[in-house]
Amino acid sequence: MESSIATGGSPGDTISAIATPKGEGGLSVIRLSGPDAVTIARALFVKANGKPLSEKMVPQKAYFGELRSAEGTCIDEAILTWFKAPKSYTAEDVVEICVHGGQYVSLKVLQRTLEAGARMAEPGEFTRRAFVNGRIDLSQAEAVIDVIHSASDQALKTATAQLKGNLSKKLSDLYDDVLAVLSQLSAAIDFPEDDLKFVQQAELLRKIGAIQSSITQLLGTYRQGKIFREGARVLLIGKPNVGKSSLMNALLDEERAIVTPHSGTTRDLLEESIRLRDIHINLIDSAGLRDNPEAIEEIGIERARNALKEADLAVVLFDQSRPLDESDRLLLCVVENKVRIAVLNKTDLPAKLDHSDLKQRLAGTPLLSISAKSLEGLEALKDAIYEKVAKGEHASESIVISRERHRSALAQTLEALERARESVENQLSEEFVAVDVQMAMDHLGGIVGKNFDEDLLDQIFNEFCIGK
Amino acid sequence: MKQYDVIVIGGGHAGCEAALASARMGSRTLMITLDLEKIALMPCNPAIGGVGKGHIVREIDALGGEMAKCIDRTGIQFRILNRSKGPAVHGSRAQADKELYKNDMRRVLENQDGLELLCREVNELLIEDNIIRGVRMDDGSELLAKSVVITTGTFLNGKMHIGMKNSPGGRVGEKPSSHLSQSFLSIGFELGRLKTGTPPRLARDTINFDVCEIQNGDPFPQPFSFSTDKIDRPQIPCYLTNTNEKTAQIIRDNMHLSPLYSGIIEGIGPRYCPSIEDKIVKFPDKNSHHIFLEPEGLNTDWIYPSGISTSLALEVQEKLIHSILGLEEAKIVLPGYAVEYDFVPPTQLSATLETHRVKGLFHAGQINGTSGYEEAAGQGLIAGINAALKAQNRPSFVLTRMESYIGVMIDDLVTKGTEEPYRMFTSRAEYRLLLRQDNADARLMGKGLELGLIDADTYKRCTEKQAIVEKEIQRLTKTKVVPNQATLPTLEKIGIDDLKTPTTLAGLLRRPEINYVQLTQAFGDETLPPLEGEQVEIQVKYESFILRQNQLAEKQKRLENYHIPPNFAYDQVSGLSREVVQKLQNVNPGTLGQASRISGVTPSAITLLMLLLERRTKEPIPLNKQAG
Repeated sequence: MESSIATGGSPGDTISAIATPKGEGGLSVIRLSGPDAVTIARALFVKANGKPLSEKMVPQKAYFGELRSAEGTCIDEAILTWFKAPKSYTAEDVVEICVHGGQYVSLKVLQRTLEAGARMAEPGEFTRRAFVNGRIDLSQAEAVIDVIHSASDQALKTATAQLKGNLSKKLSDLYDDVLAVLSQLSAAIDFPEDDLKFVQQAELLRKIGAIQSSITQLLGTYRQGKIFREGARVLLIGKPNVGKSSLMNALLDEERAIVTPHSGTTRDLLEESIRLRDIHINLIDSAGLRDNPEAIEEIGIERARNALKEADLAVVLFDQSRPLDESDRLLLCVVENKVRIAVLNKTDLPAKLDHSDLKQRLAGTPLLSISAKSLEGLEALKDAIYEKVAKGEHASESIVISRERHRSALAQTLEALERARESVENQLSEEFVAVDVQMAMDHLGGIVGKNFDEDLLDQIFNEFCIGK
Repeated sequence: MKQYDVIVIGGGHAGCEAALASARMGSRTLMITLDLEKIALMPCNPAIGGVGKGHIVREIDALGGEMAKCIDRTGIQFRILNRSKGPAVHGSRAQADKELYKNDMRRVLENQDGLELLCREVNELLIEDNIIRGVRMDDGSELLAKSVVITTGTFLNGKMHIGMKNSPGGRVGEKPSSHLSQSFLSIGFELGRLKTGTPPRLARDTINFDVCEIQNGDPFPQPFSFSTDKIDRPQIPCYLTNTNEKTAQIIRDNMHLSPLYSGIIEGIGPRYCPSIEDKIVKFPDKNSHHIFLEPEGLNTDWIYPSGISTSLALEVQEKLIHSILGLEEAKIVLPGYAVEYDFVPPTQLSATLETHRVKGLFHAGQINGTSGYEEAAGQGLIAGINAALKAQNRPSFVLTRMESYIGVMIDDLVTKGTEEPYRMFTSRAEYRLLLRQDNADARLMGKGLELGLIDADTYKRCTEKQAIVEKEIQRLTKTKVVPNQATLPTLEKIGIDDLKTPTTLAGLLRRPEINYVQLTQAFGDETLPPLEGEQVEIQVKYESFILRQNQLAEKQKRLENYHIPPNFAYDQVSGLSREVVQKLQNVNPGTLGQASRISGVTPSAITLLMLLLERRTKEPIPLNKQAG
């Protein structure tokens, strides 16, 4: 069963999570809920006067102080508030710790709460507790969850259009195709005396194979859909001193008003978030590579490859004031199969790079010239980034999978069909093949909201003349 | 006034199992039927079992019912259907001698302690404050009971059709129960109308069997019941012939004489058992349809031509029969007919088969919209058990979808209702590989014992069988075969020439080409008897599939464990759409699992209900005031 509210977890423990949305707002709040919320808070918080929180701590009062790491060093200044049960969001003891923004600090604090005995909250678990404890009614819970889920305008748009338009049609068609296979198998099992003609093994394999390739194709569009929902990861990559951080700063400066800088979770990478029209862009400066002059040539290659794997788009920087060198050529190899934009930086300096040589090596990759220093060409670059991430490789696909729920259901459908194929190939009889085809139906039915058992019988009776 | 614990109205297959179960559980039981001669009658095909249906019969047996034992004593041809497929979908079926079957069942009823039989018509149910008190009969006399089970089959407002003529009746030559239909309406039950039909019966000595294909039973007939050692009765054959283009033409030319196609019949018929008229119209491209010629018994010359159910006029029936190979001269001894009847849509019942509306009133069989002797018997058993439990103030008994076909059937009925006469198919079960007829004993006999319907000796044999199977599986799993000079000849003997690494015997048994008997014989090990050996083979060969289905079943069980109070006030839950509220109110599900299977009840509604049921607040979950 699919639901927007977490269903697991045992009551009675204390949960913790970063309550503020990722990449938005200047402050972060870490929220604890459960019987040990106060005990856990005491373990990591010291008041401004250097004393720990006392037994006489007052609910609903803001305490100023600092958060200490396990070693006793200061993580950040913080304001801590205790909401005593039942007068809290979840109707349990709740402690909210407010720190200066930054994903890095928030994560560090979260980690400390976990060390001190809290459990990481599942998505929606605070709301679930609020509801289970009678603090809010369901209509409120749903609203909260919806807000959490709609990360951007585009996501909202796709969310509402999701199961009305083409995708729904496409999924329904797939469902019907699987149903047709299941109906063949089921009729063969249930009506052995009815003189029915069934598809042969080769035809069955062909049908299953055809459904599998449709699903594979659909799954290929997921990354694209995810970009609208969760944002795109854009990696700035280039040899040392090519101007990655200048470009990063230039892009950030322009967007300062709506930028929330936050350090990435991977220490090697610097990650900042900007917004291009209706899409979140997470800019990643391969900073770690820059720290080590030899990086590109040695371990840097491996790191760059890993960073690339995660990225939706690579912005490959070249220094047009210097000739193309071995580092550049290596870089070109690394990004060979990646969605990319090539950028010639430092147009404010005299040109020394052979454009035609580079163009040839880029094989059709868009090439832009900018000066991160004078901001010349910056707008054009932003347009190019938007074009690439918004349309991407699947620009021609009108049907795009954007929800994790859909992706995982389709992936499971695919797996189930693969097992069914194996059963057919191993010449197992229909009921074994049916186990996995039925599972495929369940996964698909879950996202198209169909109920297979009724559909199945309808299909059988329409297709076969049953009745001994 | 006479007082019983349980009164069962009706003596068909549902009524028999209900009355026997109730009496065997120690409740003082009365069966009232219109005609003692018609107890356990088979008014349609002379056979018990089949794919899905055979599974139900085995489950009835494991819960101490009578149907399996009765057919074992009176069957005249036994076959396992789907033998070419895996064991989960094997379906036992037997042709019955109809006369022997009903006599045998009547004997069992008459000899049952605590059970009385009464030949009367019931006109009215006695109800006070929505609780059943008893029944009133056609002469105005009243009998009291703590529970009443209704198993009246097609007798509620029955109407029989042959051609354009129709007359009131539940079966050929029998009057319908119209008063009882009226009684149901006045209680406030919603009624629906269904249709079913039966083929004309033919005289054996007017058929030319020589031109038909002979169909013999299995050489070693396998009994239905765990308690039957062996089938002794000699087996007799059936025959197969086919309709042809001429048959189709006769039917097309006479459609105006079909009550089905002229709009006279309003009830909905079963799609899996269509009349020959339906087959010709709906599948015009199929030139030929099978007809099985089945004897109705050893001492009767009636032949049942299965596959040619019709309600066309008698003269048309004759023409179309005579168009068929081998039946050119066949004499019709009883015309085919259709019967329309009222049923009480089963969404008005809980999973115990007790009505929501009247406490202590239970419905089983065709009155719930099912068709088939086996389906009726399965419900009769559950209704009888619960009627007795109710009379004894004991907690009710419900089988889940994960453990039985009977559970699947009843859950389907009470959750979704039915639009056509409901028949069991294995496709209705989510866990087909778990619900096999070969493991019905292991699945259900423990429950039979707890209910007092299975005796200790039988149960002991059942657990011993399982222990032997378990031990043998352990042995196969632990014993390794190392491919070397000593073992290679043995391996080759059973066709294995590619073994490179040491493998367990279980691993070898998993190969499609290897069976248990071969394996044990080749290695000189003791071979378990057939039934035990079968279990070992199934459990080893299909372990991964069974494991996977078991995991899914476990997951589903979680939802079944959320019990919903019967007076849960859905309309007071904000966040449920009006449509969903209405559906939940109509079905009044007993568990969250059942609620999740109501069509149109969304996953988010289920999540919401789950949260409500989990809610730890001072304010209670919304409940309606208890009626009465």
